[in-house]
Order: sequence, then C-alpha cells, then structure tokens
Amino acid sequence: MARWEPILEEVMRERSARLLAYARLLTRDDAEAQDVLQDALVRSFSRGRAFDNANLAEAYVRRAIPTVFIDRVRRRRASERAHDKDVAVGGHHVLEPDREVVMDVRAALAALPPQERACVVLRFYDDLTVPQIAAQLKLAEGTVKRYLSDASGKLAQILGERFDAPAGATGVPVVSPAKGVR
Amino acid sequence: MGFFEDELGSLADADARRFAGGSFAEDRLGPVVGAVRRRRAVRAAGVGGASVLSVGVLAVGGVNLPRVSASLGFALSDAAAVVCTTTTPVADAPWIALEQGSSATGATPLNHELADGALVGNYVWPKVTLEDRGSGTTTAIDIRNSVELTVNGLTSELTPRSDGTYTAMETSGGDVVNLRITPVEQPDLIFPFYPPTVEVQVASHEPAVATCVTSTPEPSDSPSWPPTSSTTPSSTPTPESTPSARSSSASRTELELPRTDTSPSVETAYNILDTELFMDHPTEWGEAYKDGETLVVNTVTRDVNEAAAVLADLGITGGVTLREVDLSIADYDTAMHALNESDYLSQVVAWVAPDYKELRLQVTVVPEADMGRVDRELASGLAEFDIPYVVDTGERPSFD
Repeated sequence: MARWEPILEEVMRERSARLLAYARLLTRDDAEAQDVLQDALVRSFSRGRAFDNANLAEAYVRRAIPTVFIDRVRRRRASERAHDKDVAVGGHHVLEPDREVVMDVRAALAALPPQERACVVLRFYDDLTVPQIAAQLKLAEGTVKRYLSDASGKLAQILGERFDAPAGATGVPVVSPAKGVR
Repeated sequence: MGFFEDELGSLADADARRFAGGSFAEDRLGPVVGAVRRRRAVRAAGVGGASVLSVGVLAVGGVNLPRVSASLGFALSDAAAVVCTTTTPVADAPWIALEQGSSATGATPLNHELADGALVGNYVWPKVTLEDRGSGTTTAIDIRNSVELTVNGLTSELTPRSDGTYTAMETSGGDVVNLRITPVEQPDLIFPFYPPTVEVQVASHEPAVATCVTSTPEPSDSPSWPPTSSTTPSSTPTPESTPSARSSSASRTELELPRTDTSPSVETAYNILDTELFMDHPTEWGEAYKDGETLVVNTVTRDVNEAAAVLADLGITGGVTLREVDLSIADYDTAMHALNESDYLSQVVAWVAPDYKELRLQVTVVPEADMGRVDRELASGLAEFDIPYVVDTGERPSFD
C-alpha cells in the first residue's frame, strides 16, 4: 500500500465529518458537499505531496474545498451556457434549515451566489483577509472586495442587525449602497 | 466575535455532528483511492487522456520539487524543456523570488481575474527549466498542475491559472507571488500535453524577466508514448504481451459528433470529462485521447448514443468521437495495482500506464530486466483482468 493511502483513509474515516461540515457551508445540499469533498480529497492527494500525518492532509483538503467548489460552479456555468440555459446556479436556492438556531444563517448563505458565499465563508468563518481569499480562490482582490461588499449587503438585509460583520477588519463596506439584493 | 461568525460556527458544528458516523468514508473511499491512484500514475508516467503527455520534474541544487511517486516507481518523461535564463544575474537572491516579503515593495503582482465561467486548468504547461546564470542554479518546474516548490527552505505552491499566469503562494498561507507565463502560438500543438513555447516573467522585484528557449521534441505518432529519450524498444511484445482479442478493433462502435461552434475546445472538453465523468465514474468510462482535432472518448457501460447524450448534458456537442470499449478506467487501475503483487515486477518496472488509444497497458521495464520473467510475471499478474499489454525498456526516472 502506498504511503499516502493510510493517511487518506484516516482523513476520510476520522476527519470527514468536519470537512463535510465545512463544505456544507458552501454548497446547496449535503450531496453536493460530499461531491466537493471527494474532489478536494482527490485533488489534494493526487499531487504527489508527502503528507506525514492526517493533520497536515486535513489542512490541505480543507484549503482545497473552496477552490474545488468554485471550480465546479464555473464548470456548471460553462455547461449551462453551452446549452443556452439561463440558470442562476445556486443563486437563490434556499434549503430547508436543519436546525432552527441556524436557520436564518443557512438560508442567508444559500441566498448568496456561490462566489459570494465562498468569500463570506472564507472571511467570516476562516477569518482570512481579502488578499488571502483572493489568493485561495484565484481572484483579484478587487473582485473579492466586491463579492464581500455585495454579500454583506444581502446578509444585512436578510439578517438585519444580527449581521454585524466588522467592516473595519477588511475594509469592506457592510452594505453596498449601489447594489441591493439581486 | 459577532453574531454572524458565531452562527457560522454553530452551523458548522451542528453539521459536523450530523455528519459524524455517516457513510461518507465507506461510500467514497474506494472511488477516491482509485482516482488518486490513477492520477498519480498518470502524473508519474506522463500519460493522460491522450496518448502523449509530457511530465517533467527534477531537482537540482537547493531547489526541491515534489517527487511524483508510485508504488512501481513510474518514470517521468523528459520529453520537453523550456530553458529560461535570467537577464540580470542575481548573485545573492533566488532567481525566483519566493522568499518572505517577495510580494512586497518593488513587486508588480500580475493579478488577472478569471473570467466568469473560465475553466481552471484549461492550459497544460510544460516543464520549465529555470537557470540562474549568476549562481548556476538550475531547476525545473512542472507547471501542468499545481506543484510545490521549495527555494531556500521556503515551500510554495505554484498554481497555474487559465489566464496564463500562475500563482506562487507560500503553503503556510503567507506571501503570494504572481508569475506570468505566456504561451506562444504553436498551431501544431499536440493536445494539451505537448508544451507550447512559453515566456516566463517573474513578477517580483528580482529578477524581472526570464527569457525562455524551448526544446520540444517532435511528438511521436506512436500510440504508445515515448517513455524517455533513452528508452530502447525491446523485442517485445511477445506472444503474451501482444494485445489480446479484447482489443479496440474487436468491440469498437463509433459515433462522431462533428465540431460545432458552441462545443468547447478539445482541451476544455477533456477537462470537463475528466472532472465530471472520469474521476467520479471510472467504471463507466475508458478515458479519452486526442486524434487530430477530435477527442476520442471511450465509453464502457453506455452505447455511443447514450454516451453522446451524457456529453451533451455537459455542453459537449461536437468535436468528439465516441467509441464503445470494454476496458474502463477502473480496470486499468486495478490491473496496474495488481502488478504490485509481484516482487520482481516491483523491482524492474520503470513505469506503467494505460494506453487509452490502443486499449492496453504500456509497461516499461529497466533494460537489465529478464524479459522472459517479466512476461511470465505480467501474464500471471494480469491473467484475471484480460487486459492487453505491451512491454518495452527504459530507464527509471532520475530525480537528482
């Protein structure tokens, strides 16, 4: 058995719940979260890295999840364009919440377009800076700021005063005055 | 921490509890392991969806590149190199500025936003050899895919971007250096796996520009890719190693989808198929390869019309030939790993990889191998898989 295989198995058996939960913040449903995690696992372990332990591997996989998610969204959009379909991928697909206490946040996240959702998760859950988000998602910093700005406006509308994102921490306005909820 | 951050944390915690004890590992471990094995084999052997693919990494001096490894010690093709020399010798700094602070003052990061819908990974880049004339340091970067690059003890991950740039980011989440690699028109480029000529610009304060000269070998028309330049075809295939009756010609039914304006390019189509079909459904497909300007897709569990419908759902409506075959990606995976069971083969096989065009395994053994024993071991190891194979000889990769 190759050296990476036991580590991969350990990550999948012992760390997948946390990783799936992270992916689920980004995706529309559990099944998509599983697909994203699977792709992230394959991507992370296929690159010849020598993971010494499951912690390191988990960190790589976790970091790959947002990128994989965005890549899938891009591909889906390209495919839809090829079919002349005018479908907003996940843009307004709101799922039934699974816990009342997080219902609003789940619904608010689901109301965001995928790129904005990814930026929000990386900013407010992972506590990354704008440059770090830009690097991870391979976007320009200005684009990340715009996504965060638009998303903040929408979240503020949905969640009201409970969305108290610290604007000063990122330099991102909480509410974009120019754009409302799409 | 505010309400929103708290609730995001609560949401993730609740989901983690909900997913705990789930069947993800049981359901997905097999497919993930298979996909990783296949990709590692492809990366290592230099054979991908097409019949020819070049992969090259090497490590020289203080620069270490990731070692692609597989249990059989698959070799790396040394098929192409782009030699880049810095225009301004840098005596006391790495030629590629990946040290801390490299993106700070003086740097001119090249940030290009990916167009919406752009496919990451459309471009497949060659091995790039960079040489610092000042220090004599030489290294090579396989920039087809993300790689790690260590310079002066600092490891960064290089990630190609579809706009022709790629990002070098310290793996610990630190500094980012953006590099630009510009492909030069090369109309006769063999599907993504033969390298274009490239120019490399390091968007950091030093060195400013690297000039590149390409040495690209002529691609072979042979369905079995050239293992290395030092490889000498052996007298095999022997009767045992001749493709069996279960070959493509025996079972092939083809359907051609003429190229349309809306269908993605061959390269894009391959990337879509690789991600959407081959990786997730390795038992249903037999991979793909390029034949001229057409992507030939092997379907295993569907007839060509059903497969065409699947491709159409992915936006691929032209430029593709579908053919029905028996061997799936999973079959190749399983067969390749079965060879690990032989201690002797583990010692003498330099690399092994699927040949999706000829529907067989291409096995390259070191020249000193006992070919008779190789054939016996291969015949034995692959007996239960009914998979054709051919054998030739070549050297193991040299990483140092």
